[in-house]
Amino acid sequence: MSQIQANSAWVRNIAVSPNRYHRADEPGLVPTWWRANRRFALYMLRELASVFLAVWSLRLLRQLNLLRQGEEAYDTFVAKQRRLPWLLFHISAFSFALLHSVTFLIAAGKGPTLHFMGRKVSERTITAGAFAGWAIASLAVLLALLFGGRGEDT
Amino acid sequence: MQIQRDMATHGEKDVDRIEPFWWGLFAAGGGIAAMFAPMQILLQDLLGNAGVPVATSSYRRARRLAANPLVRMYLFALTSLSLVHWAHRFRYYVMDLGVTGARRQIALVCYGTAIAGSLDAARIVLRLPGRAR
Amino acid sequence: MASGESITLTATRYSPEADVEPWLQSYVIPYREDMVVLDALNYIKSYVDGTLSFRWSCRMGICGSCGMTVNGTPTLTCASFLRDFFPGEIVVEPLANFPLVRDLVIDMSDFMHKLGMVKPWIIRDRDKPVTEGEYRQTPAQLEEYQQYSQCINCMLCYAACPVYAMEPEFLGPAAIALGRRYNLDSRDEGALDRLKVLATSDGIWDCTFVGECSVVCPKNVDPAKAIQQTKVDTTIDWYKQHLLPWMRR
Repeated sequence: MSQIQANSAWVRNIAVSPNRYHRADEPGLVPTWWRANRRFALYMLRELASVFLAVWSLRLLRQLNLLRQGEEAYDTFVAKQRRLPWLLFHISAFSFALLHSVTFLIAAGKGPTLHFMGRKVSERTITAGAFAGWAIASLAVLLALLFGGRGEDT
Repeated sequence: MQIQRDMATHGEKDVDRIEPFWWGLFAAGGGIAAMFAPMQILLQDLLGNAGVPVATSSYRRARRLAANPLVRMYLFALTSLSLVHWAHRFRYYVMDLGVTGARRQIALVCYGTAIAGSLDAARIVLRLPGRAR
Repeated sequence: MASGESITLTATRYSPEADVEPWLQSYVIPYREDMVVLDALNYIKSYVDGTLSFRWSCRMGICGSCGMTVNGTPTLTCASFLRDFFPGEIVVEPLANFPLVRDLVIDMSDFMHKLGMVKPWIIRDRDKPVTEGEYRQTPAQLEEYQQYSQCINCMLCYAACPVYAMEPEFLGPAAIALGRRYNLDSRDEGALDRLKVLATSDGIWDCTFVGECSVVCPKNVDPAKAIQQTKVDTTIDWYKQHLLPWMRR
């Protein structure tokens, strides 16, 4: 290589010698391939979101499990959630969840092949529908958590 | 030679018979998490902990809410499918990070974890206490 | 015309007889704002260095021959203007993920092989005699597959795809998009045949939806969408078959 940096250094290229196929190097990705452009980096973050959602789900299951163990155990657990490490986790989980929602719902427009009155439904319409679904689902969660579970004592 | 050999062995393969099963659950998990997770995290874990009176911050309210069969079904679907969603993405993410070997083992660990987690989710949700007196 | 300005274009050089590895060579050439990268390469070949090798043909985004990596992005060099880079430098490299034959020329045999695997032509169980007339199609039926039929086989999507980089066995974006193009064609009867190639671990299931194929595609084919739709269809079929046996087609 000359002193100029090659731009496509994210893959290992293959050179062919004159008389026979010959791999100068094993093909493949260099470990830092996703730093080659912003879209690759965003893809890696998008996929990482699933890790945060899974850990958050496990944490939610633990909280639910404590409902059976009584008020004291539950309140202690909830109080711990206010500590800094958990706060940081929740902020990250929320950010990744938003990234997941936006990327997933945009991609949802590219998934199903739908027809209405014999015509293909456009990608834009499906995506708009997915985002409308997100709004309705969010509203349901909002109402349930703000007004749900109230009784005589609250 | 190498490339010619690759091309010779690259013939018709069998249709993948199990991948659509996992992919369906993966898509369902991604979908339910995309729809519901951000608002639940925002209220339950950010605003709730900052003092907004949301149901999950109070034991009694959380218990009453979780007594609802619809809420239980939602909680099971959200948690178990999120785990399958993770398993399916993480299986490929490991490759993206540069681990090219041990694919079968990695898939087994990922899906195995998701199945174990889903069974645990079913156990927890089924044993949630009923309505408080 | 000539403003007297110049631009630096750096190109990959590789001669299998002389070089162990590819290297980069810089050329300083006159700059004109209406020149595309392919014009610059042809200027170099005509006036500066006749040994520089690259593929091209139509100069108008139809033949799909002049795809190269321009400043890191797979690009049709006939559709990429110097003014979008000026006064910066331009680095032109061969398409990534393909074996290099010489300078900017890659070996496309793998793609040609995969293209053939999806049988990108209309398959009929029984061909209609000519006397019975042509196969007719409504505008709505055309619309079903038209987007995917715009592919010019330029291979930019293969050069952009990290999965293809990692797994040379991957069938790849363009071949899958073309397979779907014929599967969606009302005149075609070969869908099941093609699914044997598409719905495999080296086919659609290898894709992780990075989506770069659709970003670089010069014809807005959106191969990522073709792959995603095939995944959804295949999955729905699987669940219908296993959960709703009475709906089996």
